[in-house]
Amino acid sequence: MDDLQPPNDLQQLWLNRRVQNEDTATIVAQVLRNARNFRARARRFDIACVVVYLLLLPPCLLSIVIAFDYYGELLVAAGYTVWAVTLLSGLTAYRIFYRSLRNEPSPDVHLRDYIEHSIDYVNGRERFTMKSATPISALLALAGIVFAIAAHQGQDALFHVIVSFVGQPLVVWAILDTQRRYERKRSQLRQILTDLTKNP
Amino acid sequence: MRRLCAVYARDQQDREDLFQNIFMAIWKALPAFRGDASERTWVYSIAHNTALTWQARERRWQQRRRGLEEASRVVASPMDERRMQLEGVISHLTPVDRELVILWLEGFTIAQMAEATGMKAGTVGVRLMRIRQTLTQTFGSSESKNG
Repeated sequence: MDDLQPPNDLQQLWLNRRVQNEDTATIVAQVLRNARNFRARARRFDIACVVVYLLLLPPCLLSIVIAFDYYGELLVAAGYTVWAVTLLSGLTAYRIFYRSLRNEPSPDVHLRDYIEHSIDYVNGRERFTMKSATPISALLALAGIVFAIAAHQGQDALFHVIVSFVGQPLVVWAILDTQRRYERKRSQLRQILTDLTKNP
Repeated sequence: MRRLCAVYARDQQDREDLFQNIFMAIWKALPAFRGDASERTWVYSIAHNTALTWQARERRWQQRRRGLEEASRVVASPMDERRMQLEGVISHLTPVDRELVILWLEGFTIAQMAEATGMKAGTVGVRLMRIRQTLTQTFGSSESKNG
């Protein structure tokens, strides 16, 4: 079987592709520049996350204190607390998700291993998304309920009810959309794996 | 690498992007190279795997640009036209067959192809015979029949 050669004319056609003279140094410089830019972007994102934490924490705490101490609205303060927890946990989850992008399967294995690792990777990311987004969605619903009770008791919380009950379906929609995208990707990968393993 | 990029990306800018992605993947994987496979097989495995992921990620973007690219394509000679036809046929194969045919045209042995894909040598041989049949039908080459 090892003497199965490609048709000569097609191989010539394939190998004779004209390639412009390339300056290897320029290509390497460009690749290194891109790598540096990627690393710098990742570092900037990490710093931005910490800054956002620091910026968000005081107003979150302040809004709870003001609602509770100044206006004496216990339920609104409780709703703010749920919002603060939702916001900070969402930010933490997003940060972990972004960092895990660096753990993509390494391409220096044969195709079959690579596809199997890629399926595991997609599954892992999907699991993480579901695990982190589902509680966030539940927290938003909880905040909506708390604010709704507060509004019902005459406290100033109508705007908060609307925000919570608009945000909650948006999170659910985002979860379903992400799941759809992962499913599509997984099915493409499975198709390749089936093609690889089937007997011709 | 340029030949491989031409099959996975139809537009010059996309090819450049893919080429750099492959370069980067090789550079990142270099410290882990143990020498189990030949350097050539190793590099081609990385290139194919990277191209596969790149293509899935860039598909939407490519579709948007394809119309523009088709309109601006200039055919320089009958040879170029034939080569583009070959690249077109290869790009429409399944990812596994695409990898096999590229390695085949690059002069890899069946054992090396089996190593790069993780398939059995016998399976690779049978698939190549089928691919050769497809190419013969498409190009109607006299030499293909002797192959």
